Amino acid sequence: MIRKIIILLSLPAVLLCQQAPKAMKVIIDAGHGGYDAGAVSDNGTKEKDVTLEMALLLKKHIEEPSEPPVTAILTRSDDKFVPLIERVGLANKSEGDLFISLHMNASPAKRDSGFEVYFYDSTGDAETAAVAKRENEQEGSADYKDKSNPLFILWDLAQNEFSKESSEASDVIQAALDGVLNRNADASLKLRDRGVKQANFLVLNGMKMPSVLLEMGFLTNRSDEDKFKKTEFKERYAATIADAVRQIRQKFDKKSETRVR
Amino acid sequence: MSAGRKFLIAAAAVLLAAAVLYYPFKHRFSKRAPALINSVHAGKSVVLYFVNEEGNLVGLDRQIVSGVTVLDDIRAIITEESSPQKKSGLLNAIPAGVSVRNVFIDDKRCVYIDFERALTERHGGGTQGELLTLEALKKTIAANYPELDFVKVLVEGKEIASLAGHISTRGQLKVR
Repeated sequence: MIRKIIILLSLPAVLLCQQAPKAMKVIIDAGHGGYDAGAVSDNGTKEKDVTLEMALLLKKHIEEPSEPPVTAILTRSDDKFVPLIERVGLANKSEGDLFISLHMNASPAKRDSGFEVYFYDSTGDAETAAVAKRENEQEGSADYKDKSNPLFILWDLAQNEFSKESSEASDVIQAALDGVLNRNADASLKLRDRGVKQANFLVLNGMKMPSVLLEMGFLTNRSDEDKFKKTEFKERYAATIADAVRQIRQKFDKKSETRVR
Repeated sequence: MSAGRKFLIAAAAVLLAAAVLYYPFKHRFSKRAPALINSVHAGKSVVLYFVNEEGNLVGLDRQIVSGVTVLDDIRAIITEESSPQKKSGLLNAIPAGVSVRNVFIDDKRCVYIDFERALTERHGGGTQGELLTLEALKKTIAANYPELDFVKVLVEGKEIASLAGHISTRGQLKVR
């Protein structure tokens, strides 16, 4: 009898454990928009148009049926200007699991070409302290400077964790793009791999999730620009990022399983 | 107490007081701020930074005519960096034809370079483009004014969030 009661009592817990895994939520940020065209090529191709097209394509590929499912939220779905702080706010409010900001690069040197993946660099950054201040003030903490303050410690730990996961996510995206668009691509679709880098990006500052910024190619390089006019190339590009997102999901899931054990 | 012992105690007290007074200002004495007034108005060798065709920053030795103050020199150097480089085949890291409105240095060895609005209006954008501009400014100050530690970019006298929407320019940039 007692055994039956125990089994009945533990049933809800067992059922909860067997529930389908939570859908991964990816925030896709199409850089620039509206009056902010971003970089503009000599032919008049605007960064804001390429990033929006690629964001919509990426959403389509990311939301293809998969187990566990992945959903995508766009910071903009049309040609409008969204301030950077609102993009960060939207991502945090949506409680995303991963933030991907899409951009097209530009350089005074026309030979500069290829893609590069960035994550946030906060080392020695006075602004990080300002963000800590804002975050802690929102939490109602009076003394953000006090490093023994539990809120500060939690915030600091969270930032370090996000930084590590952002670095890992950048590596996965870079490796996937390198394989498909660089090493194994036909000459007409080949894109140079410039690697993973860190910089103090406005749109990645204050993000409460792993976040990366992908410079997809150079609009100031004719060859790169031409590739982004080819449907096959764009589809392949977006599908590769979507595959990388699923790999990131598996990687993060494995980590949390290890933590639970 | 003998006169000699009194003298020794007084000397030790003076030394201790000097050490206590020196410590909070140690960083100010450890590195000299540049003398603002130039003693001689003559040619001066400086290093300027431009972008080569591969997209790398390269330093070039140039001669400028010294102004009355170091601030005039920094203004002249940055203005030269933003002038089109037709002969050398090099490219401008700082958008071509952008003027510097003002230069000043604070007591924490940060140089503030105040550009006209054209800096952001003419900037070609892109993370790489922004990084090249900021890196050129940092390298220029590091090479020509080792006494300075930070650069702060201003436009029309005000702080800007970024040059073209990517890299934060809200803080002071460490030059090395």
